[in-house]
Amino acid sequence: MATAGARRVGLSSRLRGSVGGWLFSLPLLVAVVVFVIVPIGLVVYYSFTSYDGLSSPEWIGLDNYRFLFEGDDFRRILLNNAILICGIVLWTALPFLIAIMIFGHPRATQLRALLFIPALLPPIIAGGMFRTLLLESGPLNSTLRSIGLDALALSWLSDDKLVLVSVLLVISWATVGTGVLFYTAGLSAISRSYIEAAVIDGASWRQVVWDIYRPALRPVTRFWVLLLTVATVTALFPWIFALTKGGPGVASTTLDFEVYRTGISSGQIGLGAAVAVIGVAFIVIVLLAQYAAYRVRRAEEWTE
Amino acid sequence: MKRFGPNRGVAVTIMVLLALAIVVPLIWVFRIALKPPEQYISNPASWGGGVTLNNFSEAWTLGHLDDAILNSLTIVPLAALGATVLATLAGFALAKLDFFGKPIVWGAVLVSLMMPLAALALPIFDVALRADFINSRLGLSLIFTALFASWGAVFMYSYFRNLPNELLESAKVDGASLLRAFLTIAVPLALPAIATTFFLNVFIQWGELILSLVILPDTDKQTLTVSVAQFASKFRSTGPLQAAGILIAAAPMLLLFLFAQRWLRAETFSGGVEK
Repeated sequence: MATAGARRVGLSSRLRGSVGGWLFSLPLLVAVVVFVIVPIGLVVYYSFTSYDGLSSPEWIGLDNYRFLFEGDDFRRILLNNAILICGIVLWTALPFLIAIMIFGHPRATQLRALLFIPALLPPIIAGGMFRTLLLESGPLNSTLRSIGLDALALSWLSDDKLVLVSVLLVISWATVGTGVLFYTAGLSAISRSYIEAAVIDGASWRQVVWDIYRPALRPVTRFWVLLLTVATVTALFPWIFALTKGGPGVASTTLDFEVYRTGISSGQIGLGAAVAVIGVAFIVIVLLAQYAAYRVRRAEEWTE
Repeated sequence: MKRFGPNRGVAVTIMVLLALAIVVPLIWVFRIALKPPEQYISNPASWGGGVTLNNFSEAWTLGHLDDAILNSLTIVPLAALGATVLATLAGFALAKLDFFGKPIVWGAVLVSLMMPLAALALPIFDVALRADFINSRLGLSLIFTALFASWGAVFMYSYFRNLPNELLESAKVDGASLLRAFLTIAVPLALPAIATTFFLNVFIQWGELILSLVILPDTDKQTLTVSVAQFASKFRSTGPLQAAGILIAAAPMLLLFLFAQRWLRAETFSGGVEK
């Protein structure tokens, strides 16, 4: 990008910035248009067709959607997604509490390092590990039975009520370490003199936690919740694949997994596309709800 | 001075329980991987019994882990580099440059971040099938570069925002072109962030499943993640072989972390010291 006109100012310099801005952003823009925007358009189109990937798609209007909403399975799938989103509460509260409890303890740094190890395992690996351990006839249940705790040897992954709880807990195992790191960073950023002044004034630890730590950690929570939401939306698939393959039945099938099962595994691309569209709508609703909650909170904070 | 902090006993109990919760599953899987399969089947709970390294070599061969690791190594670092380059360029433009297309770029980035990969995998799969680039490793690299650039763009944007403009301004006054200023000033200063983006991209792309499943179904072209996902159908016994395979598959990312730690620390010290 040769330029002799560097000494020209005003319009040309703005233009150069403009051209530069476009040129720098173009690779990403093109990439997103080709691999995100166009595919979305295709998915929406396919959702109104009956299409098996081989012969041409056949327009059938809302039939795919009707089929989904009339079946019981799909209702359960939506419920599964909703429950897993609610898991975010658990995945936030746990690291929040842990970070506060261990903050300042001499062994805290080592524990935090240990807690972080699960985060280094790709979901397929961690999921595979726990599948091996939690199988009905597997090591955990066998151990519990051998010490007489038969009642605790539950069908962690094969009971259709319990399976989602197991998934939530396994994901907690993997994410708590990262959360603790974020919250600890937030705690470290609070000025020590501020805390010391409060303590000198007679504040108990509990009061400090409630009145100083809690508000100071709000931005961390917002960021962490956003991160978890995006992760739940994009990265749930490997967890389900590794832990349960959506089973038993559809008890742990998420919208993502259903797209894979209908659209890719059984080649019903039209139906799978309808599931995908609903999945996108689901995320948009969740993100809008979070944004609304954020705005409400912000308004409250100004008046607090 | 009154003692400040939570109840010591409670804190210590929690810490011990947490440590156990993390360590026990890991050690358990390790123990299972070392167990001869017949012993495991007859008593999955026992920690005693034989020790064997056979499971590792069998998992290695049956799971075609050598091919799988090579495939992932071929696909991921390249795609991570691509995504990082796209992200750094766009992040810089969004943070430092004025151009009327900004809302469009932001829109593209945000849409890209909200899309579940499964929803994209479906049409991409269909197009790939018809355009015949199923089983193309380069194709998957390209797809990864495109899909994982956006989060990096947001990350680099926020980093560049905090970079003071004076250095870039003085470069402009000295007659440097935009590209020159970017390459000789902005990039070196942003090196820690760029490195972080790169390593995080490697980690995320390495563990990606649905697109890898869809684009590379062939056994000898599979990524490591897909290979692991298919252990259940490849191995006869659930426990020890799978455990061994999982442990082998876990090694690359652990090594990456150790390497990235050391590299990132060095960079943070040397970058941007003169200001």
